[in-house]
Amino acid sequence: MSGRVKRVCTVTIIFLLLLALSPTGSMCESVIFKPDSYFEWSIALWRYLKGVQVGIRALKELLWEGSLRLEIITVKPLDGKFMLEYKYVMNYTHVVKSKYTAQDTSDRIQQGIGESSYATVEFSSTDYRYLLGNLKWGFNASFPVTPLLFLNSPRSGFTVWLKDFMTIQFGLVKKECGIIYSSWDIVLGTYRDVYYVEMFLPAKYLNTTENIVVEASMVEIDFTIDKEYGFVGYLRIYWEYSATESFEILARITDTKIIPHNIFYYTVASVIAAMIAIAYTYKFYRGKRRLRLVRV
Amino acid sequence: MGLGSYAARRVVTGMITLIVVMIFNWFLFRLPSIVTGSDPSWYYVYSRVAAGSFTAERMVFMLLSFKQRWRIPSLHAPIGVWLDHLIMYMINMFTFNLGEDLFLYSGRPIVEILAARIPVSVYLILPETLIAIGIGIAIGARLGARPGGKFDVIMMAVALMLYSIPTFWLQLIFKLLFTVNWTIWPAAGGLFYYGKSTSDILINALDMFFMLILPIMTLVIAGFAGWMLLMRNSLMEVMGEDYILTAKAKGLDEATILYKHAFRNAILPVVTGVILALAFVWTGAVITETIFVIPGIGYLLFQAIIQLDYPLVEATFYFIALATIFANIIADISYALLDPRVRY
Repeated sequence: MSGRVKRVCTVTIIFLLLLALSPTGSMCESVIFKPDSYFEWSIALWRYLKGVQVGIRALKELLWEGSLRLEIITVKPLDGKFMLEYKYVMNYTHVVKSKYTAQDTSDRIQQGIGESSYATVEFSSTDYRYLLGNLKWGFNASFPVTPLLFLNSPRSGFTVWLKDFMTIQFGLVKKECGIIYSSWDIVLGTYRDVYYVEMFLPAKYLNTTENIVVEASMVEIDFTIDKEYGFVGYLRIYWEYSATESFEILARITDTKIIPHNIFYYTVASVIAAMIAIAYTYKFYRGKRRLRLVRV
Repeated sequence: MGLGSYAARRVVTGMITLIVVMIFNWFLFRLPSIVTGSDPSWYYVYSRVAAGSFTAERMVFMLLSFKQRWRIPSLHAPIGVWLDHLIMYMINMFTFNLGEDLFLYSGRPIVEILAARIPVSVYLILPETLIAIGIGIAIGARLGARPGGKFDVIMMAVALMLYSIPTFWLQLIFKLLFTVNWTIWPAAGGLFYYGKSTSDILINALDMFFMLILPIMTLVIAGFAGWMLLMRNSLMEVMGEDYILTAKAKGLDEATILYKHAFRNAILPVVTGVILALAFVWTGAVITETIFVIPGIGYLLFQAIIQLDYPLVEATFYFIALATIFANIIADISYALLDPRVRY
């Protein structure tokens, strides 16, 4: 091995060691919130016509579309806790129909009144759940999962906590009412390790004060949690609102600063390009060799 | 290419086919959800629960139980979950971990259910196949040796008529005649059907034999014509070959020409059909078993479809595909063994 190669190897090993030993965040800091970061989700509300108990795509209509933007302004460590300064705003960009009245369309939904906030709150680093706000999206209900719910997924024991979070009282015992998959997803074009959760609840658990006609109606909440940063990448809430209609909220992350974008697609494109290049090179050299053999 | 490498190649091709069939089977049962956007688990709950008869909590756990038993994620699950699900499905199918059924046996392992049903299907289809093939080949050989004769004309007319009759219709007529009009056989069941098999093997065998005579009879009547036509045509083709003319010119007697020279060559295409037919010995006959209420694989499939027992239908489809692919491989290898000219 030449001296230059040895030097390069030594520098690389030292660099890797330093990287491995570098602090990854102390206990009093948050590992999931980064200062000056932001998240954006696109959100839509759909209504299933005829109150079909089995949601069929052909029988649903769009009520509104919107976007939610959350900005993390500062994250300050504070005696085993951290102080989070953030703001969010829910904008309704495309209102086709309102669930309520025309007044509601123009005021509550279109302007997003009551669905924006600027806050400074204290959280403990050992918490599993950071709720930054309650989104109601025009309903008098409290959704257990919204994009404003961040989960401390990197912390050990998270799945145990999540299972506990997903329990409902069934007779005298508490039972798990969901399934957790530890898997992966392509988020913003980038490969991410995620937890995918399917959660089922009785609709009355939404603490809604609205008139739910069907007592035995259910809610399905499907969502992904990023394993590294604990944000909700995808969310679907489907619930039977009444005997004649069901609603579905679909939210998907569309932009954030904290993860790179389109790495997966670039990789796939690069691999395809490399394969084509290798195939062409091989073909070219084989052709040259044949030509040489013919000449001989 | 030697026989060994040919056989190995066929096994590898069979494995690839099995994987493709597996993926197709997996996709088939999820296709309605993908197309309609509906979740089968919700449909499952509401197809079984009258509105308001259950509490929401109980329905939630029914839904969860469905998902866990069928091991199916929601339609909205990320791509990683679906791929993991597909890979797990394939591993489970390869290792015969077929899961549990949903309704028919309330969560019994599917492998056990299939294992209990296979012998009944074999008792029904194996004798039927062997009898139909035997009769078909015997008459077909006779017709092929002397085409255009009186017997040939009559038998061809009969065969074409039987071949055209829908089997289920023939079975319904037989059932009406023998069980309703003449009351020779009971309309359904037998000791084995009602789970009352005795410890006496002879009584069980006689009971099963008695119950299966009628369906076997109908299947043979409807099935032998096909074998007969295949054998006749194959023999007629061989009888026109040059080496048959040479044998005749040598002065060989008719029986030697027919059985030593022509029949052995003419039987080759029939052998392939026979081996393929034997695959269906394991997979049962859906319509026959349903009409005569015979608890074999076919009737199981019918019941599972009616009950929307998705895991059971999926596993039964897989089993049928597996048996067919296996029989195909055996048929190809046997063909190569019987005819040394066959080397692809």
